[in-house]
Amino acid sequence: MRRLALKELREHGWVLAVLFVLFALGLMVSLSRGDEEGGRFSALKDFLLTYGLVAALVAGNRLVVREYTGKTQLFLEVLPISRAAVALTKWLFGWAWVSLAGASAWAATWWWQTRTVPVPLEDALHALAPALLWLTAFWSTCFFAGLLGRYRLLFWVVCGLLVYSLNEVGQVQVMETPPFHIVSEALAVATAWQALVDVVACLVITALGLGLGLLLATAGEGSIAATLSGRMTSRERLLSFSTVLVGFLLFSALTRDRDRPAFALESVTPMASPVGPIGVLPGEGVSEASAQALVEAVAADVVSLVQVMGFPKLAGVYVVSQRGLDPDVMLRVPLGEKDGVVYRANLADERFDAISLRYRLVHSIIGDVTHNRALEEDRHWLLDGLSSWWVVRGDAEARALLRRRAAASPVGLSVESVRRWNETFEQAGDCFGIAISFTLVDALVDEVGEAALVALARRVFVKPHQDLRDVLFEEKLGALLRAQGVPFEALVARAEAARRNAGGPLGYQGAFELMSQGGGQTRVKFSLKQAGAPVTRWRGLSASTGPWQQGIGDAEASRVDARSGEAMAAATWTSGERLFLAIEVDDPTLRCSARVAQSWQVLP
Amino acid sequence: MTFALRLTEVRRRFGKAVALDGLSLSVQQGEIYGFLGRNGAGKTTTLRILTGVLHADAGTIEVLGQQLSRVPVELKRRIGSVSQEQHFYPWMTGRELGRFVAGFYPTWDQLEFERLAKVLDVALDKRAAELSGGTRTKLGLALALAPRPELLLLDEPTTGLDPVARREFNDLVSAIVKERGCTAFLSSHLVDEVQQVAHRVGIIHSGKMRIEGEVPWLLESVRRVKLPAPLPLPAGFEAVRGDVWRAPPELWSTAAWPEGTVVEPLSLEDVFLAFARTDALAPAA
Repeated sequence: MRRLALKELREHGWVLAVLFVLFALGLMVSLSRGDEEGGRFSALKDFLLTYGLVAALVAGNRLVVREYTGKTQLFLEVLPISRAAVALTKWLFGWAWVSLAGASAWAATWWWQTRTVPVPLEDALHALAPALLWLTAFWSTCFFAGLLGRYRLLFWVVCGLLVYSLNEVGQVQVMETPPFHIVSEALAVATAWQALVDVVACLVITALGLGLGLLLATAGEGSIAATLSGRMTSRERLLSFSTVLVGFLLFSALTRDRDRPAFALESVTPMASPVGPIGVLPGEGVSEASAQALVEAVAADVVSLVQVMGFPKLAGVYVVSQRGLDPDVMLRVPLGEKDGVVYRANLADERFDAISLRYRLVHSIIGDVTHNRALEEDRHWLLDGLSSWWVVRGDAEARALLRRRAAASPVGLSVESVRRWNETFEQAGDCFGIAISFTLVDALVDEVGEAALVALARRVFVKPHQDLRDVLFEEKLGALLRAQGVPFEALVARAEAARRNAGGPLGYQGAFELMSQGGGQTRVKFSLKQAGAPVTRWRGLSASTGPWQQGIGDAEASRVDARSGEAMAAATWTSGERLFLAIEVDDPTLRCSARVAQSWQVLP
Repeated sequence: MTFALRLTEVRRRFGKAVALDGLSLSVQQGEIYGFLGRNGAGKTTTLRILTGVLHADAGTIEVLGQQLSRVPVELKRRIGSVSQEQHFYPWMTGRELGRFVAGFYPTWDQLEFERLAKVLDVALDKRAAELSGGTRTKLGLALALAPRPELLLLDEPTTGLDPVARREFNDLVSAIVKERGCTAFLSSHLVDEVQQVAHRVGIIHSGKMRIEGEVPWLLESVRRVKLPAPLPLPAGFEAVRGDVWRAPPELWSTAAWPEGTVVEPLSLEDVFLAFARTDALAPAA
């Protein structure tokens, strides 16, 4: 066995050494990031769930699969060593390797932590023991899978589907279930020994993997493992592919969304609502009355939307006031594992645009219910338009305001611009984008009536199945419009005519000048005039994007506030960067931040 | 008489296919035994049982004086084997393979390994992947002989070798057997090769031993008989196939043949052809 172990070391040592170095680098990055939210050994936990698994998979492939596919096990068979001894040596070698990787990661993490806070040995051992048990169990599984030869990938797919179905269909928190639970937060915190059931689960998997692996390696005088290592026949390939495909379809069809716990916000101005909690958290400078008015307006929007659209009850809709934000910036708060819609906005600012906020709330609710399928470009205009139309539908003054905004938009409506809605909206900016989408839906309502709009929206914005049925049976907006007797082209033409009739552009002339700073560095100069005279209060926006990035979020663009007709962007950019540039003006007549010029530039 | 190898009524099936159907044979110590048979006759199965890779379903096996149902690891240390294909680790050089294999044999003789490699013209510094098929086979022989085995099992080792290399290979086997007094069991379907080196020959067909004995005895026992007219088989004679008969050598000289009968001697190849055909058991014409 010693000879065989040395052979394995000689054959695979260099690969394992390279992996070891890569793992060490990965662990160093993880440790130096200082992400200790999960506990002192959270880096070790991450290591075990990533590099540790890779270590075992590579070991299985190198030690077992390679031996059989290369048929070199036939060479070993004629030597005076039993098949069981060969298999056992490989298992022990692989176990030593994954244990070495795991123990090294543990030692490095421990050492790193003790640089700042003493971590007693006993606590450190609370992390080491589960780490080794987990790696041993997974290595044993890899060992067995390797001996399955050509069916090993099928085995992993089946295992993956099983875990997936338990997690998604069975609503089982897999990471809270043995054996996965052994590498849960308890390991990262490392203050107590793992639960006995986790330890037993790992030991059982280890025993099963080793036992079944030895059985495969020795049964039928090694002929089973040797036969399995051959290539799949075309019939087997077809059968495997079909099995995997059917499995995926079946599981995806059975998948239910996990019921995420609802996000709750205290000290809010509440609103009794049959569709879920709604509230506004007024901050400094926000009166109780204005908070009450806002929450009532939001509730009117949300309750009617949910009831008319037949949406399920909502986890919660909240608005949190935050001073310091620009009045046109409204940010959705990420809730992690919690469910709900929460926005931050500067409610105290006199320029705060409630229509824009309410539009966003309605937009987010529909987006969430449809799992963001409403954001697909072919129907996004309807989502934007419905959201804006919904919040102003009973408010003549607000409707007139949106019409004025649309009329002032430098970006008009055409079949092409609506088909490329995401780009159009970005060019228009929030103020004009919301307004022109309103114009579209308003034209549609004029054509078919409110009831037909709701019926159309109910068919388009349905809760998706999240599987192939969404692709196969999804109703197309264009076809639905035609069925209503509203050709898409005619609708766009009508909306554009209505937009033009409602007013005209604001007459701003914005310009962007790229100024080379030497050394491949470029700065941007913004300038804005109206009727030939410089404008004195406006904003220049700039952001660098990757070639794959379509849009710019509110938080991504850097802003420069101008107090004269020209302003320099604070940042410099290098050659080859792709820049998005825009100029926005707080127009008093439109009561919003109007994007009067925009441009995409690739720096020379 | 000491037997290095003795198989009695050995049977082995692979599913429904019968590979060995009551095979019996015996190999005396110090001889080269030629094991002749067509492809699929059961030669490789026999060799794989003798090397401990497979076990027999039934029958008794006696190897180097030990009666057993399967060859244990300890006994494998006294056996060297060379198979049709060499599944060496492609990344190992000949020398590294020698070092690796040496670890499994307490009797490994490194000097002998290097001498054999030199005699067989095997470059030990080349990786196995870089060696030709013939050179790999020769390396396999050097690896098999270096532990100074008492029994050498050769499973069609010269398949794919050119005539010169084949001759060198067989000459070396003959010389080693003679020099060390060990035993060689050579499986092949190349009759001339077997005739060249083997002291005794066994012909296997459909998993059964059809005939075995020393080559001259075989040639004297099996002959072609051309009769002038149909005649019942004389006592002690057996029709093998068509006009090929077998009988103890002494009967051939004492038999009273009708006038016009022609009795022709056969080559070993003719004997092989007569016994290794599917209709070999068909009654004589």
